[in-house]
Amino acid sequence: MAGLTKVSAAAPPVLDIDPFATRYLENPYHFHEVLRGAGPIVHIPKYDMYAVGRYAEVQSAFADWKNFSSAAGTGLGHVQKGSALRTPGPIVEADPPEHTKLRSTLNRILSPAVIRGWRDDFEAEAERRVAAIVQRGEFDAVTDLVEPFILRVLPDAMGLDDEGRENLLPIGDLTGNALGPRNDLFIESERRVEPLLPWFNSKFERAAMLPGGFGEKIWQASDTGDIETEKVMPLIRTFLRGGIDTGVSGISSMIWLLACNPEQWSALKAEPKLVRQAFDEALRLETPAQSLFRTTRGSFAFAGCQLDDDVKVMCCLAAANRDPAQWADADNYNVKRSTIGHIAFGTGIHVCIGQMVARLEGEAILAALLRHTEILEMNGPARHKLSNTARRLAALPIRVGRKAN
Amino acid sequence: MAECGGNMACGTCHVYVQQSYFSRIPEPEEMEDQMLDATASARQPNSRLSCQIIITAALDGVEITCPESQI
Ligand code: HEM
Ligand code: FES
Repeated sequence: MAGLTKVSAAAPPVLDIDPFATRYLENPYHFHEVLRGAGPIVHIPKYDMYAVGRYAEVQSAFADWKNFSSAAGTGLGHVQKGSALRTPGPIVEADPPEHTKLRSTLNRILSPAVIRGWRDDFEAEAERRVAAIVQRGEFDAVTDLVEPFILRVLPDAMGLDDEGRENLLPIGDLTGNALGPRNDLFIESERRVEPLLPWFNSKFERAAMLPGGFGEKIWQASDTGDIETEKVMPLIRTFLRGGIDTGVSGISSMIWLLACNPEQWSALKAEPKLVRQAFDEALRLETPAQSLFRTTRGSFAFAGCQLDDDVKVMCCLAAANRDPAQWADADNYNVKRSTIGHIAFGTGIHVCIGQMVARLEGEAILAALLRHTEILEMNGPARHKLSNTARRLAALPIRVGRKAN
Repeated sequence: MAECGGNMACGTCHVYVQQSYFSRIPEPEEMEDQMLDATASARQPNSRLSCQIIITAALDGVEITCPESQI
């Protein structure tokens, strides 16, 4: 093999599976192994796409926006041609130079200094909810704690009013499914969202933004010409679609991993300053956005293979984050691990702009749990929601309380 | 702390560079400049994001100080 690729780069090896088949979606770790094992980059005939799952290649593809473009969409559907034709998202699905200017404006609107200003509110909300819920002794961490918490703090920071916020959950679910093929999962979640669209679309309007939120700041940036007016509503949609379900996913997974790994919970109890690492380590293992797509621009050699022009590339961030070539004891949850370099937030020019918001959310909830309960245990089986690209707990029965003497 | 892994998206790798070595590091690009304006501890004339400093022989012996807070 290696001898052949030296002479002239060959086409990537074929991996003849359907990554979106139920058996892989139900057991993503198995899919990750299959993908990493099949080669540095593979061709999947069913969708005529390439796929990468080893850390080195996923990281290089994300770092190389010239060859691996976002402008044809970051899902499997090619937004510039065929049945998936639509206007690309204003920031996520833009390449430089369009991306650069908008990103710079948004970096100001969502700078770490701005986000630090939300800390007290996020912490107070986490404290209030956790203090109330631990009284019950038993609860579902997803539906009773994490979802209501995220639906409170993030739309508040954006400046959205209260009415109908729970609609953001099925909309988040659709976002994860719509990045994959138009299968039953996609169609079913689209059907659930259909009646909510009038509500959703009304929330991007300028008049819908409460004063002081970052939604208002995005609108104001269109007054000064920093953001083109026609991009404002799609941008607000991007934040609402991308910033809710991912956060719910990450925090729920963190609670799940801690409840399943009592020694890690004890380690945190002994050293509460590890809370942020505990969150990032959970994102590494249970990467909320499992896969995102790029599209090849031109024909070029990559990882010893010759790639064709204008082909979708499935980049499995989740597989990279568990690649044993990159991470020692890759499948173990270890709150003391240095998680630097994990790519649950992506990497390169599109790296998540909300990552410091997400970390603040995770830190606030976990610090409150550490203050209020000695034990954190499973109280029944956890259940995941099937999704084409999202890793998302649907049910997480938890028991809390004092240690029995 | 370097939470974003060198993507200029977190500001948690903010450091102060020993004055006498400061000019030996290439000027920050715009993204870094923007991030330095938003760090947890105040920006100083010798502030940099450590993830953007490439260690060269010219920096041999440089002293780097971590600010009070990086989050
Ligand atoms: C744990 C929670 C989160 C995860 C795992 C996550 C994941 C990601 C990933 C992987 C990307 C890169 C997309 C790509 O390269 O194609 C991204 C980009 C983005 N995220 Fe997040 N995200 C999270 C929370 C948030 C929050 C809370 C917000 C908003 C406040 C947000 C807003 C965005 C935006 C606007 C982009 C696009 C940036 C660009 O294209 O330049 N995310 N996120
Ligand atoms: S590591 Fe995040 S800005 Fe340097």
